[in-house]
Amino acid sequence: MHKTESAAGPAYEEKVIIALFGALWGLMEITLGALLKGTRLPFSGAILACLAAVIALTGRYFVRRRGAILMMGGVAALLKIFSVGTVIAGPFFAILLEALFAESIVALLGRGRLGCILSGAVMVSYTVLHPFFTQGILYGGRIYEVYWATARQAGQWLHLEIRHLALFIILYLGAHAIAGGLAGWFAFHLARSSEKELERMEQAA
Amino acid sequence: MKWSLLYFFLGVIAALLLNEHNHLCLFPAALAGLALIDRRAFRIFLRWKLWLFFLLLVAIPVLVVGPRDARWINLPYNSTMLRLNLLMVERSILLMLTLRMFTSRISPAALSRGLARIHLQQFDEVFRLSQSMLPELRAAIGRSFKDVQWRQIARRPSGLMPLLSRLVASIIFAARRSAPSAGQEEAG
Repeated sequence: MHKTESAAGPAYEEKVIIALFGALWGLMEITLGALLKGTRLPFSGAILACLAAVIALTGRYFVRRRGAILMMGGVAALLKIFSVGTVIAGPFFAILLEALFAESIVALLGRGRLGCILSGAVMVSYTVLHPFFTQGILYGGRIYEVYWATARQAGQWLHLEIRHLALFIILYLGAHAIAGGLAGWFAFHLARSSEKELERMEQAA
Repeated sequence: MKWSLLYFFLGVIAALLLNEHNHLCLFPAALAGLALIDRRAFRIFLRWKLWLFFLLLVAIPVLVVGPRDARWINLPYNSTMLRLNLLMVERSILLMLTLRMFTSRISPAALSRGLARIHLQQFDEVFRLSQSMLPELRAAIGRSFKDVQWRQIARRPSGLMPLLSRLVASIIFAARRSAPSAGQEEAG
Protein backbone atom coordinates (compact mmCIF):
# COMPACT_ATOMS: atom_id res chain seq x y z
CA MET A 1 0.00 0.00 0.00
CA HIS A 2 2.76 2.42 0.92
CA LYS A 3 4.82 3.52 -2.04
CA THR A 4 7.38 5.38 0.09
CA GLU A 5 8.53 4.93 3.63
CA SER A 6 10.33 7.35 5.87
CA ALA A 7 14.00 7.07 6.73
CA ALA A 8 13.17 6.51 10.42
CA GLY A 9 11.39 3.30 9.47
CA PRO A 10 7.78 2.31 9.00
CA ALA A 11 7.29 1.57 12.71
CA TYR A 12 8.00 5.14 13.74
CA GLU A 13 5.99 6.53 10.84
CA GLU A 14 3.04 4.40 11.93
CA LYS A 15 3.33 5.72 15.48
CA VAL A 16 3.19 9.28 14.13
CA ILE A 17 0.11 8.46 12.03
CA ILE A 18 -1.60 6.78 15.03
CA ALA A 19 -0.76 9.80 17.20
CA LEU A 20 -2.13 12.21 14.58
CA PHE A 21 -5.38 10.35 14.01
CA GLY A 22 -5.80 9.77 17.76
CA ALA A 23 -5.33 13.50 18.32
CA LEU A 24 -7.79 14.24 15.51
CA TRP A 25 -10.35 11.92 17.12
CA GLY A 26 -9.73 13.55 20.51
CA LEU A 27 -10.03 17.06 19.05
CA MET A 28 -13.31 16.12 17.41
CA GLU A 29 -14.64 14.68 20.68
CA ILE A 30 -13.59 17.77 22.63
CA THR A 31 -14.79 20.48 20.24
CA LEU A 32 -17.77 18.95 18.46
CA GLY A 33 -18.75 16.93 21.54
CA ALA A 34 -19.03 20.10 23.63
CA LEU A 35 -20.88 21.89 20.82
CA LEU A 36 -23.42 19.09 20.33
CA LYS A 37 -23.93 18.76 24.07
CA GLY A 38 -24.46 22.52 24.31
CA THR A 39 -27.03 22.58 21.49
CA ARG A 40 -28.79 19.51 22.95
CA LEU A 41 -29.15 18.06 19.47
CA PRO A 42 -30.81 14.62 19.45
CA PHE A 43 -28.63 11.66 18.44
CA SER A 44 -25.47 13.63 19.27
CA GLY A 45 -23.82 10.40 20.49
CA ALA A 46 -24.52 8.70 17.18
CA ILE A 47 -23.22 11.72 15.21
CA LEU A 48 -19.99 11.72 17.24
CA ALA A 49 -19.61 7.95 16.82
CA CYS A 50 -20.09 8.25 13.02
CA LEU A 51 -17.34 10.87 12.84
CA ALA A 52 -15.14 8.80 15.15
CA ALA A 53 -15.63 5.80 12.85
CA VAL A 54 -14.60 7.87 9.82
CA ILE A 55 -11.44 9.13 11.56
CA ALA A 56 -10.42 5.80 13.13
CA LEU A 57 -11.05 3.67 10.03
CA THR A 58 -9.40 6.17 7.67
CA GLY A 59 -6.35 6.26 9.94
CA ARG A 60 -6.28 2.45 10.21
CA TYR A 61 -6.16 2.14 6.41
CA PHE A 62 -2.67 3.70 6.45
CA VAL A 63 -1.35 1.63 9.38
CA ARG A 64 -0.58 -2.07 9.20
CA ARG A 65 0.03 -2.47 12.92
CA ARG A 66 -2.61 -4.39 14.92
CA GLY A 67 -4.11 -2.45 17.79
CA ALA A 68 -3.77 0.87 15.94
CA ILE A 69 -7.44 1.84 16.42
CA LEU A 70 -7.21 0.88 20.09
CA MET A 71 -4.21 3.20 20.46
CA MET A 72 -6.03 6.00 18.61
CA GLY A 73 -9.02 5.47 20.90
CA GLY A 74 -6.73 5.51 23.96
CA VAL A 75 -5.23 8.82 22.85
CA ALA A 76 -8.67 10.32 22.13
CA ALA A 77 -10.08 9.10 25.46
CA LEU A 78 -7.15 10.54 27.43
CA LEU A 79 -7.34 13.87 25.60
CA LYS A 80 -11.03 13.98 26.47
CA ILE A 81 -10.26 13.22 30.15
CA PHE A 82 -7.90 16.19 30.40
CA SER A 83 -10.23 18.55 28.58
CA VAL A 84 -13.43 18.16 30.60
CA GLY A 85 -13.85 19.45 34.13
CA THR A 86 -16.53 16.98 35.19
CA VAL A 87 -17.13 13.23 35.61
CA ILE A 88 -16.16 11.79 32.25
CA ALA A 89 -16.11 8.07 32.95
CA GLY A 90 -18.96 7.54 30.45
CA PRO A 91 -17.35 9.09 27.36
CA PHE A 92 -13.92 7.73 28.37
CA PHE A 93 -15.09 4.10 28.40
CA ALA A 94 -17.35 4.71 25.37
CA ILE A 95 -14.38 5.79 23.25
CA LEU A 96 -12.21 2.91 24.46
CA LEU A 97 -14.91 0.30 23.86
CA GLU A 98 -15.80 1.69 20.42
CA ALA A 99 -12.11 1.48 19.54
CA LEU A 100 -11.90 -2.08 20.88
CA PHE A 101 -14.89 -3.24 18.82
CA ALA A 102 -13.63 -1.57 15.64
CA GLU A 103 -10.13 -3.01 16.11
CA SER A 104 -11.50 -6.52 16.69
CA ILE A 105 -13.59 -6.41 13.51
CA VAL A 106 -10.78 -4.95 11.40
CA ALA A 107 -8.44 -7.62 12.80
CA LEU A 108 -10.92 -10.32 11.76
CA LEU A 109 -12.10 -8.98 8.39
CA GLY A 110 -9.23 -6.73 7.34
CA ARG A 111 -9.16 -3.08 6.31
CA GLY A 112 -11.33 -3.62 3.24
CA ARG A 113 -14.80 -2.31 2.48
CA LEU A 114 -16.61 -5.01 4.49
CA GLY A 115 -14.40 -4.59 7.55
CA CYS A 116 -14.92 -0.82 7.50
CA ILE A 117 -18.71 -1.04 7.05
CA LEU A 118 -19.12 -3.60 9.86
CA SER A 119 -16.77 -1.72 12.19
CA GLY A 120 -18.69 1.51 11.62
CA ALA A 121 -22.02 -0.24 12.18
CA VAL A 122 -20.86 -1.78 15.48
CA MET A 123 -19.22 1.44 16.71
CA VAL A 124 -22.37 3.50 16.18
CA SER A 125 -24.79 0.81 17.41
CA TYR A 126 -22.82 0.59 20.63
CA THR A 127 -23.76 4.20 21.48
CA VAL A 128 -27.31 2.92 22.09
CA LEU A 129 -26.12 0.24 24.51
CA HIS A 130 -23.42 2.25 26.25
CA PRO A 131 -25.65 4.11 28.78
CA PHE A 132 -27.04 0.75 29.97
CA PHE A 133 -23.52 -0.62 30.29
CA THR A 134 -22.20 2.33 32.36
CA GLN A 135 -25.34 2.44 34.48
CA GLY A 136 -24.82 -1.26 35.17
CA ILE A 137 -21.35 -0.43 36.50
CA LEU A 138 -22.46 2.64 38.46
CA TYR A 139 -25.70 1.35 39.94
CA GLY A 140 -25.14 -2.40 39.84
CA GLY A 141 -27.08 -5.13 38.03
CA ARG A 142 -30.29 -4.22 39.85
CA ILE A 143 -30.77 -1.20 37.60
CA TYR A 144 -31.78 -3.61 34.79
CA GLU A 145 -34.48 -5.11 37.00
CA VAL A 146 -35.78 -1.60 37.69
CA TYR A 147 -35.81 -0.76 33.96
CA TRP A 148 -37.50 -4.06 33.11
CA ALA A 149 -40.18 -3.66 35.78
CA THR A 150 -40.80 -0.02 34.77
CA ALA A 151 -41.02 -0.94 31.06
CA ARG A 152 -43.53 -3.72 31.82
CA GLN A 153 -45.63 -1.39 33.96
CA ALA A 154 -45.57 1.32 31.27
CA GLY A 155 -46.48 -1.34 28.67
CA GLN A 156 -49.51 -2.35 30.74
CA TRP A 157 -50.72 1.26 30.93
CA LEU A 158 -50.23 1.85 27.20
CA HIS A 159 -51.61 -1.61 26.23
CA LEU A 160 -48.34 -2.52 24.55
CA GLU A 161 -46.69 -5.92 24.59
CA ILE A 162 -43.05 -6.84 24.99
CA ARG A 163 -42.79 -7.60 21.25
CA HIS A 164 -43.66 -3.94 20.51
CA LEU A 165 -40.80 -2.84 22.74
CA ALA A 166 -38.50 -5.39 21.07
CA LEU A 167 -39.53 -4.11 17.63
CA PHE A 168 -38.81 -0.52 18.67
CA ILE A 169 -35.37 -1.52 20.01
CA ILE A 170 -34.55 -3.43 16.81
CA LEU A 171 -35.60 -0.49 14.62
CA TYR A 172 -33.65 1.97 16.76
CA LEU A 173 -30.52 -0.21 16.74
CA GLY A 174 -30.95 -0.86 13.01
CA ALA A 175 -31.08 2.86 12.19
CA HIS A 176 -27.86 3.36 14.17
CA ALA A 177 -26.21 0.37 12.45
CA ILE A 178 -27.12 1.74 9.00
CA ALA A 179 -25.73 5.18 9.87
CA GLY A 180 -22.54 3.54 11.18
CA GLY A 181 -22.24 1.31 8.12
CA LEU A 182 -22.49 4.38 5.89
CA ALA A 183 -19.79 6.08 7.99
CA GLY A 184 -17.57 3.00 7.55
CA TRP A 185 -18.21 2.94 3.80
CA PHE A 186 -17.39 6.66 3.62
CA ALA A 187 -14.17 6.07 5.62
CA PHE A 188 -13.05 3.36 3.19
CA HIS A 189 -13.61 5.60 0.15
CA LEU A 190 -12.05 8.58 1.90
CA ALA A 191 -8.95 6.51 2.65
CA ARG A 192 -8.71 5.34 -1.00
CA SER A 193 -9.17 8.86 -2.30
CA SER A 194 -6.61 10.20 0.21
CA GLU A 195 -4.12 7.55 -0.88
CA LYS A 196 -4.35 8.80 -4.49
CA GLU A 197 -4.03 12.41 -3.32
CA LEU A 198 -1.01 11.42 -1.24
CA GLU A 199 0.68 9.82 -4.26
CA ARG A 200 0.18 13.05 -6.17
CA MET A 201 1.64 15.06 -3.28
CA GLU A 202 4.68 12.77 -3.02
CA GLN A 203 5.32 12.96 -6.76
CA ALA A 204 5.11 16.75 -6.64
CA ALA A 205 7.45 16.99 -3.63
CA MET B 1 -0.11 8.88 41.39
CA LYS B 2 0.30 6.10 43.97
CA TRP B 3 -1.86 7.90 46.53
CA SER B 4 -4.46 8.77 43.90
CA LEU B 5 -4.66 5.11 42.89
CA LEU B 6 -4.95 4.04 46.53
CA TYR B 7 -7.81 6.50 47.18
CA PHE B 8 -9.46 5.38 43.95
CA PHE B 9 -9.39 1.71 44.93
CA LEU B 10 -10.57 2.52 48.48
CA GLY B 11 -13.53 4.46 47.05
CA VAL B 12 -14.43 1.64 44.67
CA ILE B 13 -14.17 -0.97 47.45
CA ALA B 14 -16.37 1.15 49.75
CA ALA B 15 -18.97 1.47 46.98
CA LEU B 16 -18.94 -2.26 46.29
CA LEU B 17 -19.22 -3.16 49.99
CA LEU B 18 -22.34 -1.04 50.54
CA ASN B 19 -25.35 -3.12 51.53
CA GLU B 20 -28.60 -2.77 53.46
CA HIS B 21 -26.93 -3.53 56.80
CA ASN B 22 -23.89 -1.26 56.65
CA HIS B 23 -24.92 1.67 54.44
CA LEU B 24 -26.00 3.88 57.34
CA CYS B 25 -22.46 3.93 58.72
CA LEU B 26 -20.33 3.13 55.64
CA PHE B 27 -21.84 5.72 53.29
CA PRO B 28 -21.38 8.77 55.58
CA ALA B 29 -17.91 7.53 56.55
CA ALA B 30 -16.88 7.17 52.89
CA LEU B 31 -18.32 10.60 52.08
CA ALA B 32 -16.39 12.14 54.98
CA GLY B 33 -13.21 10.41 53.82
CA LEU B 34 -13.65 11.68 50.27
CA ALA B 35 -14.38 15.20 51.55
CA LEU B 36 -11.11 15.14 53.50
CA ILE B 37 -9.15 14.02 50.42
CA ASP B 38 -10.70 16.34 47.83
CA ARG B 39 -13.60 18.65 48.59
CA ARG B 40 -13.70 19.94 44.99
CA ALA B 41 -14.98 16.55 43.81
CA PHE B 42 -18.33 17.41 45.40
CA ARG B 43 -18.89 20.01 42.69
CA ILE B 44 -20.45 17.29 40.56
CA PHE B 45 -23.58 17.73 42.68
CA LEU B 46 -24.06 21.22 41.26
CA ARG B 47 -25.50 19.60 38.13
CA TRP B 48 -29.30 19.63 38.32
CA LYS B 49 -29.57 16.82 35.78
CA LEU B 50 -27.86 14.46 38.19
CA TRP B 51 -30.40 15.22 40.92
CA LEU B 52 -33.26 14.85 38.47
CA PHE B 53 -31.92 11.44 37.43
CA PHE B 54 -31.59 10.31 41.06
CA LEU B 55 -35.12 11.54 41.77
CA LEU B 56 -36.56 9.72 38.75
CA LEU B 57 -34.58 6.59 39.57
CA VAL B 58 -35.89 6.50 43.13
CA ALA B 59 -39.39 7.92 42.65
CA ILE B 60 -40.82 6.26 39.54
CA PRO B 61 -40.09 2.58 40.28
CA VAL B 62 -40.94 3.02 43.93
CA LEU B 63 -44.34 4.54 43.15
CA VAL B 64 -45.37 2.41 40.19
CA VAL B 65 -43.64 -0.98 40.29
CA GLY B 66 -44.52 -4.03 42.37
CA PRO B 67 -46.58 -4.27 45.57
CA ARG B 68 -46.99 -0.90 47.29
CA ASP B 69 -46.82 -2.01 50.90
CA ALA B 70 -46.13 1.27 52.71
CA ARG B 71 -47.54 4.79 52.82
CA TRP B 72 -46.00 8.25 53.05
CA ILE B 73 -48.41 11.21 53.36
CA ASN B 74 -51.11 8.94 51.95
CA LEU B 75 -48.95 8.02 48.97
CA PRO B 76 -48.54 4.24 48.60
CA TYR B 77 -45.02 3.06 47.71
CA ASN B 78 -42.89 -0.07 47.44
CA SER B 79 -40.70 -0.04 50.56
CA THR B 80 -38.31 -2.81 49.42
CA MET B 81 -37.64 -1.05 46.14
CA LEU B 82 -37.10 2.27 47.94
CA ARG B 83 -34.40 0.72 50.14
CA LEU B 84 -32.67 -0.96 47.21
CA ASN B 85 -32.87 2.11 44.97
CA LEU B 86 -31.44 4.32 47.69
CA LEU B 87 -28.55 1.88 47.96
CA MET B 88 -28.00 2.15 44.19
CA VAL B 89 -27.94 5.95 44.41
CA GLU B 90 -25.51 5.87 47.35
CA ARG B 91 -23.26 3.46 45.48
CA SER B 92 -23.27 5.62 42.36
CA ILE B 93 -22.53 8.77 44.41
CA LEU B 94 -19.44 7.11 45.91
CA LEU B 95 -18.25 5.85 42.51
CA MET B 96 -18.78 9.21 40.82
CA LEU B 97 -16.96 11.10 43.58
CA THR B 98 -14.09 8.60 43.50
CA LEU B 99 -13.74 8.87 39.72
CA ARG B 100 -13.95 12.68 39.84
CA MET B 101 -11.32 12.81 42.56
CA PHE B 102 -9.03 10.46 40.64
CA THR B 103 -9.30 12.31 37.32
CA SER B 104 -8.77 15.71 38.94
CA ARG B 105 -5.62 14.53 40.73
CA ILE B 106 -3.75 13.04 37.78
CA SER B 107 -1.97 15.12 35.14
CA PRO B 108 -0.95 14.11 31.60
CA ALA B 109 2.67 13.94 32.76
CA ALA B 110 1.85 11.71 35.76
CA LEU B 111 -0.26 9.48 33.56
CA SER B 112 2.54 9.25 31.02
CA ARG B 113 4.99 8.19 33.75
CA GLY B 114 2.47 5.64 35.01
CA LEU B 115 2.01 4.18 31.53
CA ALA B 116 5.76 3.82 31.08
CA ARG B 117 6.02 2.14 34.47
CA ILE B 118 3.42 -0.50 33.60
CA HIS B 119 5.31 -1.33 30.39
CA LEU B 120 3.05 0.53 27.99
CA GLN B 121 5.98 2.49 26.56
CA GLN B 122 4.68 2.33 23.00
CA PHE B 123 1.37 3.83 23.96
CA ASP B 124 3.11 6.37 26.16
CA GLU B 125 5.24 7.40 23.16
CA VAL B 126 2.17 7.72 20.92
CA PHE B 127 0.33 9.73 23.58
CA ARG B 128 3.25 12.12 24.03
CA LEU B 129 3.56 12.49 20.24
CA SER B 130 -0.13 13.29 19.92
CA GLN B 131 0.09 15.92 22.65
CA SER B 132 3.05 17.59 20.96
CA MET B 133 1.27 17.54 17.59
CA LEU B 134 -2.05 18.85 18.85
CA PRO B 135 -1.44 22.60 18.26
CA GLU B 136 -0.03 21.96 14.78
CA LEU B 137 -2.95 19.68 13.92
CA ARG B 138 -5.46 22.25 15.14
CA ALA B 139 -3.80 24.88 12.95
CA ALA B 140 -3.74 22.54 9.91
CA ILE B 141 -7.46 21.81 10.27
CA GLY B 142 -8.18 25.51 10.68
CA ARG B 143 -6.20 26.26 7.48
CA SER B 144 -7.96 23.48 5.54
CA PHE B 145 -11.46 24.59 6.48
CA LYS B 146 -10.78 28.33 6.42
CA ASP B 147 -12.03 29.12 2.91
CA VAL B 148 -14.59 26.34 2.66
CA GLN B 149 -18.00 27.43 1.39
CA TRP B 150 -20.17 25.26 3.70
CA ARG B 151 -23.42 26.32 2.03
CA GLN B 152 -22.06 25.16 -1.33
CA ILE B 153 -21.02 21.82 0.22
CA ALA B 154 -24.47 21.42 1.79
CA ARG B 155 -25.95 21.85 -1.69
CA ARG B 156 -23.37 19.55 -3.33
CA PRO B 157 -22.14 17.01 -0.72
CA SER B 158 -19.84 15.39 -3.30
CA GLY B 159 -17.54 18.39 -2.79
CA LEU B 160 -16.77 17.13 0.72
CA MET B 161 -14.75 14.10 -0.41
CA PRO B 162 -11.93 16.00 -2.23
CA LEU B 163 -11.72 18.46 0.66
CA LEU B 164 -11.40 15.73 3.30
CA SER B 165 -9.07 13.57 1.21
CA ARG B 166 -6.74 16.58 0.79
CA LEU B 167 -6.78 17.06 4.58
CA VAL B 168 -6.09 13.36 5.28
CA ALA B 169 -3.35 13.26 2.61
CA SER B 170 -1.70 16.35 4.07
CA ILE B 171 -1.80 14.79 7.56
CA ILE B 172 -0.18 11.55 6.34
CA PHE B 173 2.31 13.52 4.22
CA ALA B 174 3.29 15.63 7.24
CA ALA B 175 3.57 12.44 9.35
CA ARG B 176 5.93 10.84 6.82
CA ARG B 177 8.03 13.98 6.59
CA SER B 178 8.21 14.47 10.35
CA ALA B 179 9.09 10.83 10.99
CA PRO B 180 12.75 11.01 9.80
CA SER B 181 13.63 14.10 11.84
CA ALA B 182 11.80 12.86 14.94
CA GLY B 183 13.35 9.44 14.54
CA GLN B 184 16.85 10.93 14.29
CA GLU B 185 16.20 13.10 17.36
CA GLU B 186 15.10 10.03 19.25
CA ALA B 187 18.16 8.08 18.15
CA GLY B 188 20.41 11.01 19.18
